[in-house]
This record gives sequence, structure tokens and C-alpha cells, in this order.
Amino acid sequence: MGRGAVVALLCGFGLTACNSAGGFASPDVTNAPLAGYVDIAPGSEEEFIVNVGRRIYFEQGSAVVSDEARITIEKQAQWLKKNKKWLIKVQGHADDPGSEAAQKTLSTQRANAVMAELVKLGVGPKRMWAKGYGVERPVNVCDAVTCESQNRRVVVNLREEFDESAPQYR
Amino acid sequence: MELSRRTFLGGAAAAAGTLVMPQIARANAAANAYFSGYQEDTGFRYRRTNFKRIDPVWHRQMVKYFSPEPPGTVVVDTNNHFLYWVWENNTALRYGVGVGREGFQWFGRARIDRKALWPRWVPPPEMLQRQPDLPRLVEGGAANNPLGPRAMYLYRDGTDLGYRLHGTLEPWSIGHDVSSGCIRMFPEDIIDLYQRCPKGTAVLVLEHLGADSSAG
Repeated sequence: MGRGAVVALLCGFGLTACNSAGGFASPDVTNAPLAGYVDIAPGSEEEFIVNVGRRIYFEQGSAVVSDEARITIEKQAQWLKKNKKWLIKVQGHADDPGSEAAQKTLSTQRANAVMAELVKLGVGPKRMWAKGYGVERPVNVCDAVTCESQNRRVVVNLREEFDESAPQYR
Repeated sequence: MELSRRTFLGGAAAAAGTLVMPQIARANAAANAYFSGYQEDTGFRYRRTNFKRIDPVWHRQMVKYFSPEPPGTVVVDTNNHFLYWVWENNTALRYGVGVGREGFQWFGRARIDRKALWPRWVPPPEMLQRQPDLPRLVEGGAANNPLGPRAMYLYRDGTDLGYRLHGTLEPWSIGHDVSSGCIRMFPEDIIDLYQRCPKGTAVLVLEHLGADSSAG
């Protein structure tokens, strides 16, 4: 019996909660496949997420792009130049010492720094915009480097349209 | 079959004065099937994994994942040879790993406090005692460096546990109990995970998912 059949059977008996997006059904259990990620299409957002990665990390209080961060940015630039249909929202975040306003500024500087690197590597500036979120959207909350290091980041997000935070938006 | 191979290789075997050679050649051919050319990486190169030869279960993939561990945590399921990088919304990016063989396994919490590109390899004293023929030091980027292109060093309360997440020269060992306690990954995967885990990342090594995480 194939995996699909097993899943269908489990779902049919109501043994486990199921989601089904676009005809894809998978039980809500660890290791079950995720809709959209089973046969990843070249140029898809899923490919970008699994094979390239969206996050770039920063040191405490810094918006300087490190050598390590540049490795991710180079990979992103390569992919983005090959897949020109995507617009790119570069989202900055912070979890650093200082006021919330200061962190908002820092997160914006981080986003701008990554965008500048992508431009340097040949990604069209008209496709991109940057926004700083400050402390609004942490990955994880705790008073330890374990959380802070995850939160001091820029996320390169693929978009189909500009949103109101983009200068290109009208 | 045996006869025809002997006939075919007879000349070479006679010249070498041994029949061991065809076996080595066969072993090499079997190993070579796991590779597919070379990949340049930050000044060095590694042998690219031939993923067609690897069971899809060990390929990097997004899966559903239900656990109390917060996003950004690395969780290792030793028995099942999986490493999860935990995401939001009950999902995780899952990688296949090789883990410690019997007697060399360990479980507990740790933190990535050090990371290195193309790390040099210095076998610890206990390992040298078991295998006195090992080199005392292998430079980073050397073709025989077992750590491969990246290493992430596991610490607890500021002390180096001696365990690492690193690459491998033996892609066939992923999915098996093979190491002296380190977590080994395909070179492509350790490069990928390295970029996703900043210094400070929490790591939890479990006997299996659902096992007591307070141990250690």
C-alpha cells in the first residue's frame, strides 16, 4: 500500500487531523510530508526556502554584513537572478540592547545592508524593497543568546506584488 | 562469472602477483558511485554527493514536526538518524545524519558556541589510543579531512563537549551508527545547516523523539 493510500485511510477513519491543500492530504504527525514540498518545482518559493535559505544573521548591535552572512547572500543573489519573476521584500529584525525605537532603526539598517549587497551582486533594485520590524516578530523569546542570535536577522521574502511598505507601491 | 572476470583480469593480477586488486577496484567503484564530481567552496573543494544513489529518506526535506522545542532549535533523533531544524507552525527542515556507534552515543542539551569553515581535524587522545595509526592533525580542506567543509562545535555551560556537527567523506554512512559520537551530515547539508544556525543555537540530542529531554 502506498503512502498516499495509508494517509487517505488514516484521514478517512478520523484517526488523526488532516490538512488537504490543493488535493494534497497528509496527517498531522511528525515526519509527515508538507504540502508544496514533496516535488519541489525549480524556481518555486519552496525551492528558495529549502535549497537557498531566507535568513541572514547579525552580531549584537551591528548591521554589518559578516563574511558568513555574505555566503548566504551570494547564494540568494544567484537564485534571484535566475528567477526574475519574484519581487523581494527584505525584512529586518532586532533583539538587541537599546530602546524599541533604536532597534527599529537597527533592523532597518540590517535590511538596507542586505539589499545593498544583493544590488552589488546584480539583483535589480527595482524588484526589491526593505522594511525594519524592530522587535515585533521574534523567532523565539527568552533572555539568552539562544533566542537573541535567532532574532538578530534579515529575512529575504519572495513576493508576487509590492505592498504598501514599498516605494514602488501605488 | 568468476571465471570470466579472472580471465579478463588475469594479466593484471599476474603482474601484481595478487588477486586482491580486483576487490579493491570493485570497492572503489562502489564508493565512487556515491559521488558526482567536485564542488568549489570558499577556496577548497569537496566531492559532491550523488543523491540519486542516496535513499530519499535521507534527503533534506520539509516535514511536519510536533515538539515543545521552540523554532530555531536543532533536534537530533539518534535512533532514527534524523536531524530537525525546528520552524514555526509545527514544521521542520529534516536532514539525514550518521551518529555515534554503540558505546559512543550521547544524549542531552548543548549549544553551538563555535563554528568553523573547513576546520582542521585533531583526533582526540582517546581516539588515538584506539586507532594509533591516525594522523595527529589533518589540515582544513585536505582531501582526507573527515570533518569536511564545516563544523559546529557543541558546548554546555561554556565547556566544549568534544562533540560536533560536521560533514563526512563517507556519504554511505548517513543513516547509520558509525561515529565516535559526532553527528555527521552530507557536505551539502552541513554547509546548508551552517548558514541557518547562528552561534548560540540550542541543540538537543535525543535517543529518539519523545525521549526525556531533561537528561544531561
